[in-house]
Amino acid sequence: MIFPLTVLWHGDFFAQVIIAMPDSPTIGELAEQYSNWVVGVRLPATDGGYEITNEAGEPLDPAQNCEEAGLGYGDIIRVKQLGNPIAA
Amino acid sequence: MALRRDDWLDVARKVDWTYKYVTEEDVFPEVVSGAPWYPHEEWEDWQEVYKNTYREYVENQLAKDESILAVRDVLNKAKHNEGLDDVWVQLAKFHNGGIPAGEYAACVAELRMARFGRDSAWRTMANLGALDEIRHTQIPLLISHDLLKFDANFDWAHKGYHTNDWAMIAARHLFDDMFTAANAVDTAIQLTFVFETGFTNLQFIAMAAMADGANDHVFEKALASIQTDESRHAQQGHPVLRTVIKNGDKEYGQYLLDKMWWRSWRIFAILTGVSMDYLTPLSARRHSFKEFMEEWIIDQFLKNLEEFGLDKPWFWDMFIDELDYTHHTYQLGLYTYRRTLWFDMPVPSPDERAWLNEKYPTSFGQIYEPMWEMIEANWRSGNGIKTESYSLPSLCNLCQLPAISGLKGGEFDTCTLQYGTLPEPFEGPRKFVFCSQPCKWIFEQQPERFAGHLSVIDRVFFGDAPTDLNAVITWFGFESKEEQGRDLHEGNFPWPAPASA
Repeated sequence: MIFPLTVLWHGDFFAQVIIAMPDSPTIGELAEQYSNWVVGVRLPATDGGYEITNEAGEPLDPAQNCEEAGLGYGDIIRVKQLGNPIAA
Repeated sequence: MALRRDDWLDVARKVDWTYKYVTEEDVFPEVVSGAPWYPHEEWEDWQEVYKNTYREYVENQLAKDESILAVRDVLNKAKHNEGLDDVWVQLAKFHNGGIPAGEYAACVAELRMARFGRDSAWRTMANLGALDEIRHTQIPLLISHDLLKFDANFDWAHKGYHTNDWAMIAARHLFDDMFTAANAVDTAIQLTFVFETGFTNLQFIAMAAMADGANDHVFEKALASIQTDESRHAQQGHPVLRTVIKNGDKEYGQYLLDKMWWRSWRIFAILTGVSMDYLTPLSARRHSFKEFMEEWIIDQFLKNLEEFGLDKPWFWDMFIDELDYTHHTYQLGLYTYRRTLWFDMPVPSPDERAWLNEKYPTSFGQIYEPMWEMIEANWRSGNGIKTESYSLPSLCNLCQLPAISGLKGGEFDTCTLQYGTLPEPFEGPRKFVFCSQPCKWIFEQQPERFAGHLSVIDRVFFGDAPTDLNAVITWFGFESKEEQGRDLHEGNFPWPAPASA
């Protein structure tokens, strides 16, 4: 089952298009994967990890996959870098 | 004795009659002529300010065409075209790719009003408007055809609307909603009053000035000539809106205005905003996009609202706020996804960034400039490949544009709506994504009108488009890698690297 999620690209924080395949990665892995498209390209990396929330602003467990996190087609997730920028 | 023009003008342009063999409703069915449906007595005072006979039309248009062709004959030379600024050429490809077939679709709109408009004077104006739109199709196609030997991507002037390119889908969605799939009343208000009077008529004036500054005098002449037609046939909207309001349907007029103002703003930001602030050579810039919007668009729009006793759209403050952000965000998005475009995209130079800082003191330096600096740094360190994205962005299910508009202060506007079910063989509720509350609101007013449409992202997910990015780009209509957009300088920036910190 494909669980495509709609995600946005942003400056301070971001969410990205996610397609969860049958062996879908965890929310944390997806956040890491998609953050690489922005971090180091438009934003400096930070040293504090990520805060991942759903559309309602509720925090998501990075260890869960999309289905476990209750995410389905069209849902938005938001990923925000935490911490301070790491010097290049 | 020969009649003077004013003696016979009304007989030529304004003759209506009482139907003997059919009803008025049969001749002007509501579904095509528009609702609310009023009897002709309510339309008989329909008047345009600037009146034109067909003879005058032919004479004037002939003179205009001869003027454009004369400039083309003189300037359509390799020496002249090769002297144009590279970034301006990208603007010309962008504009000419997006406009001609849309103008041809507007001819359909004019013809609908020419047959189903509720007063003969309206129908006469629309007949001339249809001829205008054919002209507005032919001129950019002609100019673009001349430029094919200079840059093959001018082929998108004809090809673009027949492709699945996401930008073309966005344009088709807008124009279908605005007029192709709209009745005559809605078309007059949405197209001629909101879009043409509100936006494009003024845009052509501004762009002609920019073209003059960029020494592209063929384009300049064409834009100025097109604008004179636009200002004439855009007159149709005022008396139609006046009639709707006079008959107690002001709320409906307000709704059409709100809806199409937002939709026009969206397309304007990504086409004109990006063109003015990023694709016009610095020396040719007369004003920033925000200044243009404030001095020309907003000022005139507010006067129109006052004339009709209408309110500012409910999202007005949101729109004003977006003047500092949206088109800058779109530019970053277009740059990132430049392989999906038929023109190249530039990294703004230090001088251009200084200008943008001056024009957008509360947003550019804080949000966008750091990103451009990182992009430039990636190129200079041999990592240009990192400046692209390797998956598709989220696209709004209403405007079809990237849902990346709310890039400001930690807030953003993207929202969702659950409506209907997923198409077979998928099961479950369908969730729509919108870039903003106004796009969501527009969808919510007529979900049955919009829900059947699949965005590019939907088509990928539901199997109507490939899932691999390279295959999607081919599906968009790009037949070779050379046809896809690139960084204008490919990392060889014509300015020195910044001094090391």
